[in-house]
Amino acid sequence: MNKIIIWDGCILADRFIYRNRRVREEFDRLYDMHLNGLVEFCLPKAIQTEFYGLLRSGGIAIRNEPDEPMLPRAFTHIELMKLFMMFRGIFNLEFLDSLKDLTWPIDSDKYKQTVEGILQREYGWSHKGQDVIEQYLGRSIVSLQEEATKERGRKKPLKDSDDYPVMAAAIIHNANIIVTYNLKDFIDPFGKIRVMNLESFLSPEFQDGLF
Amino acid sequence: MTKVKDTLRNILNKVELGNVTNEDIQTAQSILDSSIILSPRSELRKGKPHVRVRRRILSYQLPTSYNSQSKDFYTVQEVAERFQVSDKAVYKWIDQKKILYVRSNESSRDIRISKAQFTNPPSKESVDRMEHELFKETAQAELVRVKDLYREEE
Repeated sequence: MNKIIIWDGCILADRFIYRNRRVREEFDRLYDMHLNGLVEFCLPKAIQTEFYGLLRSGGIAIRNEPDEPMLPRAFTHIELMKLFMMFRGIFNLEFLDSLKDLTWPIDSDKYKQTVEGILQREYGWSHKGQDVIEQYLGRSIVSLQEEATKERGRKKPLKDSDDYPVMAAAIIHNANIIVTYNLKDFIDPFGKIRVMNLESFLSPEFQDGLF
Repeated sequence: MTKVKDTLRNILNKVELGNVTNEDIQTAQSILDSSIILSPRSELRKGKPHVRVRRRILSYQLPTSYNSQSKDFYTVQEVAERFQVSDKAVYKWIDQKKILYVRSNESSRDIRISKAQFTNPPSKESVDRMEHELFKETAQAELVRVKDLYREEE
């Protein structure tokens, strides 16, 4: 059975917004393996929606000349669908197309509320997936955090509620690996879901055991 | 002797399958307590019967146009190169039947992997074109609010 790998939105941003060459190569390689059934590269709706909302609402700033100021740009639905169609093996086109007529607040982070509403409807969870995470943990997130702060040297887990949807989606999708830069925001005390940054994911030792 | 071996083999199989009973253990113990001495090279001394499993042969019939330089086939090394994995990973995929292969003849160890079974991702050129169209002549792009996605940035 293939291992299910989730890339968090921050790594997607590295691929599509910052266009980091190495991340792009790695994305292309995983996508190729995914298309051929060799790994399961999964972008849950939680991540697709956040990424779509960010691009629609002007969360990206661009400049055409190096000495120009960075200006926010809100991409149109049609522009974005061209991008997603190119990678239709992992982007859910039907779902993303259904987001077309929603109101996406421009130049503010209010798009997050729209994203939250969509995900609540799609996944049927509440509080950004907090209930799914707590059901999985068998305890409250607060008690987990309190325990962590009592133990010296341990970082506070699940610190940012904006990342709850990714963790909750990983639980729902039975993911084995979450690749993210926000390591503090995820934890699986049962060790079923491994959370790692891209460097660790690409290390030869890890790659050898991936298949 | 053969009967004893068969009994031990059966018990080993049950151990492998996880359905060994107390009675089996007692039987095995009584055999081992008896004066039967197994050769150190015996397969029964290795803990697990060694079964030589041949790789599944999917087809011996190669196209008449086939030759070792055929562009329609990859070698194991070429598949490893395409996916940037080790040869070992490719053999694992073969064992897991995720990749189909052929041999030039039944006795050959020469494996060839048909390119036709693979779906190709969009070419780098077409992705470049699409991105160029999306970002126009953009020299640089970045997140307006870095913390939208990078929560640990302070």
